[in-house]
Amino acid sequence: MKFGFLIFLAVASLSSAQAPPATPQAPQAQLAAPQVPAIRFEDATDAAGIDFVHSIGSAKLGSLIEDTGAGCVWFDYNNSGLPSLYVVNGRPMEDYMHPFPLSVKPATPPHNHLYRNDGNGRFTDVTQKAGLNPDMYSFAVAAADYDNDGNEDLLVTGYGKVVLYHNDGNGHFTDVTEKAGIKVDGWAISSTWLDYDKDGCLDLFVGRYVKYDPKYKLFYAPDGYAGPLDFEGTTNMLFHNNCDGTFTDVTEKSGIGAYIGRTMGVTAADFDNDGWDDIYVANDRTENFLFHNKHDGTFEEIANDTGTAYGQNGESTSSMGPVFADLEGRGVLDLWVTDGRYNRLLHNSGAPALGSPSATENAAKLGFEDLGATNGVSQANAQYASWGTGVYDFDNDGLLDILVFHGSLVQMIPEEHTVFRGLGGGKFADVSSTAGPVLSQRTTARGACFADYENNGKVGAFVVNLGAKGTLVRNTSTNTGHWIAVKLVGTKSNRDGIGARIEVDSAGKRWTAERVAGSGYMSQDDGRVHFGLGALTAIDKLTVKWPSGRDQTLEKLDVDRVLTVQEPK
Amino acid sequence: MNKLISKILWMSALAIAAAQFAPGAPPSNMAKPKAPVIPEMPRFHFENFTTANGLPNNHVFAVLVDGNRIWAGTENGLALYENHAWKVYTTADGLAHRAVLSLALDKRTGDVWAGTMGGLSRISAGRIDSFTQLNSGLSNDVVYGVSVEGENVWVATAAGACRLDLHTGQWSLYNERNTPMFEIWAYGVSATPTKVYFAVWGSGVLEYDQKTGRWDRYDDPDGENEVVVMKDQGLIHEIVSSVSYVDNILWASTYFGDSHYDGRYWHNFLKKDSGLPSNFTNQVKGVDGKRAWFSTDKGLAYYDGVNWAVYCPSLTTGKPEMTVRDAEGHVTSVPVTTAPAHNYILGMDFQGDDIWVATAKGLSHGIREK
Repeated sequence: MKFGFLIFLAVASLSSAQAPPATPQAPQAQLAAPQVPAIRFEDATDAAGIDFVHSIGSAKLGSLIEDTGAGCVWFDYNNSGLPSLYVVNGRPMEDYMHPFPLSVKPATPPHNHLYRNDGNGRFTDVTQKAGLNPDMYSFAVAAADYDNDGNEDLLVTGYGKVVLYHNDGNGHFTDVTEKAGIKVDGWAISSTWLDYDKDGCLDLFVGRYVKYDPKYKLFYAPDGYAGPLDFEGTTNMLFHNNCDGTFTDVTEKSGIGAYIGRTMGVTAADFDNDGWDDIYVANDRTENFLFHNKHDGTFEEIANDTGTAYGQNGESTSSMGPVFADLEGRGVLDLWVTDGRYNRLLHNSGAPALGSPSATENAAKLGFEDLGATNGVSQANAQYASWGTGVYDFDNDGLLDILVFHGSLVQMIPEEHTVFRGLGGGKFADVSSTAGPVLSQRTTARGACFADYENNGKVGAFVVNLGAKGTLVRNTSTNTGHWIAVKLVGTKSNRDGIGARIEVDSAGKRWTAERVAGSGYMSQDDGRVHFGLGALTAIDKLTVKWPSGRDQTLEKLDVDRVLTVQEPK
Repeated sequence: MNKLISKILWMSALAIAAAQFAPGAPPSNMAKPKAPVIPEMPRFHFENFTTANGLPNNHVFAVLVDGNRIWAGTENGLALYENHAWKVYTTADGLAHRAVLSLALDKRTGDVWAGTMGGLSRISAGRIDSFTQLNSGLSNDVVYGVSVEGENVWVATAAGACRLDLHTGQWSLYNERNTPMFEIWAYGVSATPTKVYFAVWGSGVLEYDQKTGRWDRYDDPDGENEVVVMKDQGLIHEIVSSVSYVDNILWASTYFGDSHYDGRYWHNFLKKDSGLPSNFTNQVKGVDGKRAWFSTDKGLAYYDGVNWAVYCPSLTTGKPEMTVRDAEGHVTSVPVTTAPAHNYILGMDFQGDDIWVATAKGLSHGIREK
């Protein structure tokens, strides 16, 4: 009887989440490891010494500000070869900003934290020493070496302003916002770095959410608070890097300022393979934006034309975390977007091969097709509000997997989390229930950032939980395959190599990825680009297509290591 | 000679084979296609009660088994069947309203709680006390659902949910102000020591965690859409008519199909791809994590985790019917001589292996045959 029930449950859960049988898998079979890899995660927060607790700044959830949560970034601020973790935080604002202000304010306000990766699975809080504690209610963060001095800098966004921190190279950061000429009013949220004009200096895109008015309190009680549509949307901002430590606001000049939205997540990558980075903006209850780079310092918004503007039912849903990734091994970047309703797996059906003559053709011909409804990924997550997400080969079997963190909108209701194992051909299997208790532990997740923080080839994550302790999700997958991680050092290109395309060729198969900055919800992953290689023990060829236009090829490479590739001078 | 004999034998064999396989010729020794094996499903002899044999009204909204006593909530009073006789409680006896919509038993005390169109009544040792909006903390006088757990009576009403603490006599109200209940039309409740679930008409399922005091809400991800966008994506529909929580499994019935939830995954049942006789389900009652009974507008349905059985009078002839649907979807008619009093089923309860069924035209006692 019990056995029958187990079968029933297995069938029920598989049918609820699993894709139809994958298309012919000869290439995968060829690469498959002898034993089937199993994706596993564990909660390593305490063991790692990470004590981050997110603050909504008030006694009780009561506003859009408080429900937005926070993000994080993995970045190697001290050039130790190990990514450290920076997590941003809310804090009590003035009482009028909170419907339920704290009656007694904490002596030490909650603040952002920098956790130095000590290399033994342990982290040390070095926030004070680093000076990374901005006086603001923070939401998101993005890291990049904007001045190409060899040290990773930080941009932290918050309510009312942003702060640009210059990495002094000695473990300390200095607020250079004013000096750099960056001024952002209103509610700054997700941001990303990109070199949109390919001049070798990283430019800055800053998303803004809404024109928030704390005095507006008309809403239906179960909604909890006035929502995104109760406030006027606003424009995002683009800053051009002058390559001298300063930036120029090109929001209007670039065309970005012509579009009013309600930004949640932001990412930038070359989706149409024309060699120029484009920008995707996930908006809340508003059509999403795909800003296509016109190569002349301006952008055209083409989301509606490309099928990336709306949710699965053609609605303006709550889009959260966008990620560009080559999900089908075709050499083109597909788009994965988490959402308050149906997550979307947008198959890039229009992008020509990188560098082909047609790559410069009219972008309006490009298009995405949502596969989420047919391959199970949308169905399995439809019951949740999905936020932070990462697309990585967690078991290194050669196929990208997807990890999604959930947490209800509005009511602070915790939810379990989902991991899909890639089957190839755009198909996935929901393996959440066997991936370890940490994914079944319900939390009200928001931002999440991903990294192989142990340098063992296994990508884990940190997730910010709304008003609660964050979780370090350690990858303990078994029977994993081989891997390589690529750290780029640009010379003519920006030093981080942001915007560079990496192709790994071996045994007749190619993996493609782009080094991006902002990704997912209000967060950024480790800058080293990770590839799972399955059973392959060597790489035939690795090609880096630098933003400068240079193509660099390395041959006969060993695997299971972090490979640093410096752009030829 | 031997050669000739063997040739004849060989030719004969060929001829026989040709005859056997000739088009249109009936196969002689070939295996006949196997008839599907009909799964063993419960069979009942139904005895029906109506006004003709003691029921105060044929519209039976709820039925409750209390040992050898059967309580029936009807449109015109609360009926008690005991020792082969019916006794009827009316407003004259203190019942809050003549129309009794829901029933629950307090197993600790033996008290019966009756939700009516005009308040909540407690029947205790023959005495009836009624709670209304005017004399108590009851949310609303239209009580669609009631469930007793420990010292708490949980109530689903037309204007929110509430809880009566029997120890303190204190009422707690739950509505859009303090729960994620977007509509306040609570239609059913299932209370257990760990979780309490409310069926909310138009607002999905509400969950109350007894340990944490936290509320959760489960919705149909496609919202108000009448179509099912993706079948097992979540709760099948927002218009939830009843809930049943057993063995850590939530069963939920809606007017547009039924749902099974194991805490992570949903499995939904629709008429088109299960043995449900109709998507319009008034009540679901889980036997355990895999088996459940469904009260639909087109018959009483039972699901054993694999197979389905449906019991009803034929919708066309009125003759008793029982059908069984196996895992492959083969539907077989099982000869029966009795059926529930009507195909419109509103509720059921169990008496050992027997089942009692509330229908739109009487109360039925299903006596288990095998």
